[in-house]
Amino acid sequence: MELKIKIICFIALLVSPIGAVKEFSEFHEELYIRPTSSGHVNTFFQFTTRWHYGDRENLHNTQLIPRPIAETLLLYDVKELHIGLTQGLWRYETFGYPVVDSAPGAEVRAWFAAENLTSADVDDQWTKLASTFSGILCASLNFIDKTNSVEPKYSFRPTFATGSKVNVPQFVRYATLPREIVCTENLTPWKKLLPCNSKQSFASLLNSGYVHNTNYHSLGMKMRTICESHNTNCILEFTETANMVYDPKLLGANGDFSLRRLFGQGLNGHCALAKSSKIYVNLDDQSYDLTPLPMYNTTSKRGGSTSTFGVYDIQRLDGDKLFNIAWIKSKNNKPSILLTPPPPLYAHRYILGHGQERGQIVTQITNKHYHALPIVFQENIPWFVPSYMHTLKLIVQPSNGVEYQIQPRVMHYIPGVQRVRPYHLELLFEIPAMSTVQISFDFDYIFLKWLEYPPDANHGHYLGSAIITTQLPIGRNYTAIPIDKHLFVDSFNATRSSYFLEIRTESLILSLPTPDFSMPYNVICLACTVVALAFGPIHSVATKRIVIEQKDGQPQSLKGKVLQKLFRRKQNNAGNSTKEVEQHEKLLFGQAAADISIRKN
Amino acid sequence: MEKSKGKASNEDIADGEDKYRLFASMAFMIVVIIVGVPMWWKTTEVYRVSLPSVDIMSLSDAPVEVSTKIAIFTFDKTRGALLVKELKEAYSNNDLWRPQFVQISPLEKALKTKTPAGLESILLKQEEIKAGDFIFFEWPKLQEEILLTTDRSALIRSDTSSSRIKQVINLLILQTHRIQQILNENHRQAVKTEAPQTEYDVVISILNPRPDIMDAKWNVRMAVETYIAPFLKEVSQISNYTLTTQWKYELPFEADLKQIRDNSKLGRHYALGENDLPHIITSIEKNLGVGITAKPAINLVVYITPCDIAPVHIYNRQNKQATRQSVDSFISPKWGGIIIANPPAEACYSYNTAQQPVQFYVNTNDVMQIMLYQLQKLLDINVEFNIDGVKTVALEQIAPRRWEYEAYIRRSAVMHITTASNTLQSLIKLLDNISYIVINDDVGDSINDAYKKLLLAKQSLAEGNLLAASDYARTAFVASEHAFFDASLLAQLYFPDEQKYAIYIPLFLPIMVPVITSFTMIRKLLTKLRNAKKEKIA
Repeated sequence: MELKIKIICFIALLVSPIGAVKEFSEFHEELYIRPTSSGHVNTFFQFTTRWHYGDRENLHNTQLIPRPIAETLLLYDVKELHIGLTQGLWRYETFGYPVVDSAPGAEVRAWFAAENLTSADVDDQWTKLASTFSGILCASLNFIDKTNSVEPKYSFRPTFATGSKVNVPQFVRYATLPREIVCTENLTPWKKLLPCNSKQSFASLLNSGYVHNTNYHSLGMKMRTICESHNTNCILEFTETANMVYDPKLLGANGDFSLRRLFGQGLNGHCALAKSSKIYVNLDDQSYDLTPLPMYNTTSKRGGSTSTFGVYDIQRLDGDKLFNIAWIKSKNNKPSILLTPPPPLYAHRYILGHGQERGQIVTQITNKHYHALPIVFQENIPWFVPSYMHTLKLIVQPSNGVEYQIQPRVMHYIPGVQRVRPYHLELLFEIPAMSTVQISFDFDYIFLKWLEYPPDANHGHYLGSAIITTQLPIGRNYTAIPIDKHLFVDSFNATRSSYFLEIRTESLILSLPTPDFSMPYNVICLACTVVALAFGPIHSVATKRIVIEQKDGQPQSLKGKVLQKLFRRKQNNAGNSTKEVEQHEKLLFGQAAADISIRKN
Repeated sequence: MEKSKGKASNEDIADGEDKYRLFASMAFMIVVIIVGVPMWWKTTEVYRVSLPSVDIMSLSDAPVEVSTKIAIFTFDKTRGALLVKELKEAYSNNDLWRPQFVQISPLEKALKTKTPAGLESILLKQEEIKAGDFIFFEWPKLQEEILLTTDRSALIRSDTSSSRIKQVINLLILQTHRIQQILNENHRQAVKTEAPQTEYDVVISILNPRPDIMDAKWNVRMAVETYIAPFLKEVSQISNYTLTTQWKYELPFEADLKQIRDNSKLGRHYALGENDLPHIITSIEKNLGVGITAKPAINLVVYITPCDIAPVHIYNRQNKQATRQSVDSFISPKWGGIIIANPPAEACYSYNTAQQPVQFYVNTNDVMQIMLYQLQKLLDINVEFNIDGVKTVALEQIAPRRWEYEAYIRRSAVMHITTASNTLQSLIKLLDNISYIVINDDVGDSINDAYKKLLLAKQSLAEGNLLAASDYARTAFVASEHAFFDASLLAQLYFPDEQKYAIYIPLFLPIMVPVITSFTMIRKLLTKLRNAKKEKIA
């Protein structure tokens, strides 16, 4: 087990030999479609550009790779970058594992490596990099800074290669913005990074009206460099992915679906620059009939499970008509048998507790496999959720048996500091076979400064997903691309000794106590009024003389009193008295006189 | 009603109390008016570093003066002296220019030289010619009246008049009309030219709208490094240029092309109307990709015409073909230029007959020469003129002529000085008008720095130290822009003075009214006390 954990931590990167190849650049477009066991349809687009750019200077001369991407490499010491913009939740139990996993909202992860690079430099470059991509993708990535970024130690493994003989310092940064809403404004710039325009090619299927009607959609971008020797003879790999899960029931027509129905239109040819343009259709669920039939079928054996794929090579099609594939429910009405059992590992997360004082974050990781699995669990808790790690508990709940507590094998914890850095927790432990591990810890609800509340503060604050990393011994439900390869087709027959898996939990929403935002203004006004009210009498008492007057023959009736006061008043005025009479009194008398005159009328 | 005795005793008490009432009112006044109001004012004040506002506003009072050395050599000493005298007289009443005319006396060695270049090198040993200076020397066998070399010198014939020399100095060396345009106070008349920025991205985009039928081969990197990079290296005194190239696919011209029959091999060409050119720039600009730096970009676009609409030629408003070249191009100042690189007729002929994708090589020489010319135009370094009897030596290298480039440096320095002082002055005016603009230490430093550098730049120009002046002017320009566009200026913009008063008036109004009315009371009490004293004395 110790060994396995080490493998997760220090995976040696398998670099495909570059050799002395001349400068090349190639572009591939792929689409993978699979009906899931829940009746949903998972569609996955991948656009891969690979450019053997050679030396650094050549990054100024781009061809298929978009210019801003190449310029990022010149400006920053970034070697690998993953960006995910996701809306909706991937349901592992029913959808299986995605090709590229990403957390709800925006997620960015980058590796930096260069000689003499310090952590402070990296912090600076990281925020600049995020701002750059904020502009490129029109997303709010510019909100990424030190207060929401962490430096994971065990969760991620690098997939780039510097090719340097000496040990070059490497740094990783990770941040999520779970509140980010992914919309058309992200899709359009994302499509602009493709070498072909979106009227033709696979990108013609990505129409915003249809993309955003899905149960789950995720735009991804991945960039990595693979160098044979230090900074020379390098390959830049730039991959754009779009993953969408449709519910065919919502599309109407009793569960049948087609490309046109899913994407709003048929496929309009292929990109002229693409080296390959292929559609892969998973044929494991045999309850559908395909029209037209795939050009050829291919079988993939991977980690003990076998899948069949139908392949459509779009470059071999001719004719100007829009290409369409239809999935029609089989007429022979076979009893639908769940062929693919649920995936071996999945996780859920909740907030427990009531009221707005104390709460508990609980993550449940379930292992359905008949072997124990090594787990790296990562939490990235924002600074405004003070968490108490002394309450951290790992409880194993076997599917048949009594629950018991375990201790993590390794715990990496960096406590958060308010307004400075988030809480970062990484746990390495082993999850026993056929059981669930429940990770829980307590936290407090706190008040924020009034400017720190986001717009619509009563909506609540988001907590990013936890990331669970493991090595699966079997390839069931597993579709990720091997680390040393770059195309989706490379995942066929890619049997390895273990399968590196990343899954993410739900992001949580936390309603922090929210103040009345007009409060400061009200407080100022109220305080000023009170001070002003108090000031008047105090000033009068301190500066005015109080004169006591003897009054004789006071009339008993109200009318008499008033008349008398009025009379005295007139007398005073007439007598040109030198007595100081308070202005207030004058005012009062004036009012009383007015009252009387009204009454008389 | 009042008994006299009671009244008297009351008044006695009142006299005793009056003193305390007086002190109490005074104490309130001191606390509220002398301590409270200034403290409130100070604590709610907008932070502002002290600035040399008056000095900055008087910056434009001192006009820009430029001094240069212009040396003249003739074989006949009296003729040289005459020329110098005439030129000196011509410039004696000039506010802008303070040229120093120097005569180089005839030398023994000079008579023996066989070539103008030899003569020039001898003269340069005799008289120091710095950047911005110029030398005219006589060469009797000259055909033209004046021949400008690529360096800081010109050859003159033995009978060249001083008025012709003055014309050359004014128009070409000093470029008086352009400097005056820059200095023109009246902004309506001044030509709207932007001061050169310190950094530029030169983005060369090659558009191939139909990669499915056009397999264009071109080693862009090599072409650019051969033609453009050496030129930019020569002109990077004022601005730094970063060269990038990119290919862009499936990005067509969005314009109506009219087919026109002709006698070429293809039997037709397509006409692109002059009116459509701005639309083309608009349509392709949004797809050219964004740079990730804040540097302004100079776009140079090469459009590879697809064979189904090739060749494309630009037509003017009179519906005539605007150019006679095989390559058409146009520029939009400051934005960049577009070159329409029509593929060779043979390639398109084979496409039209076979309908198969064609492979061809882009003609590097044609395209890059036009691109270089466009770049020179965009940077506005080259001088084009038409004066009888005045010629320039043809350019042999890519770099611009030395005197052209130095005139450009001088122009830029003047432009930087005027822009920077305008920026500073508008900033000061803005600060006077809007009291809640914050000026923090950083911005304050920038303003002070810009002001100091401006003075230094002006001084250096007046002393004839062109390169130093250019450096100072550029740093002043950068500092002034930084100060003007700094985001911290807007920090208090959401809390203007009106709001400040709106919030504090509920406090101040009810407090101030009794305090101020107690003034009258104090006055009355004082007169009363004085009267009482007088009575006592009496």
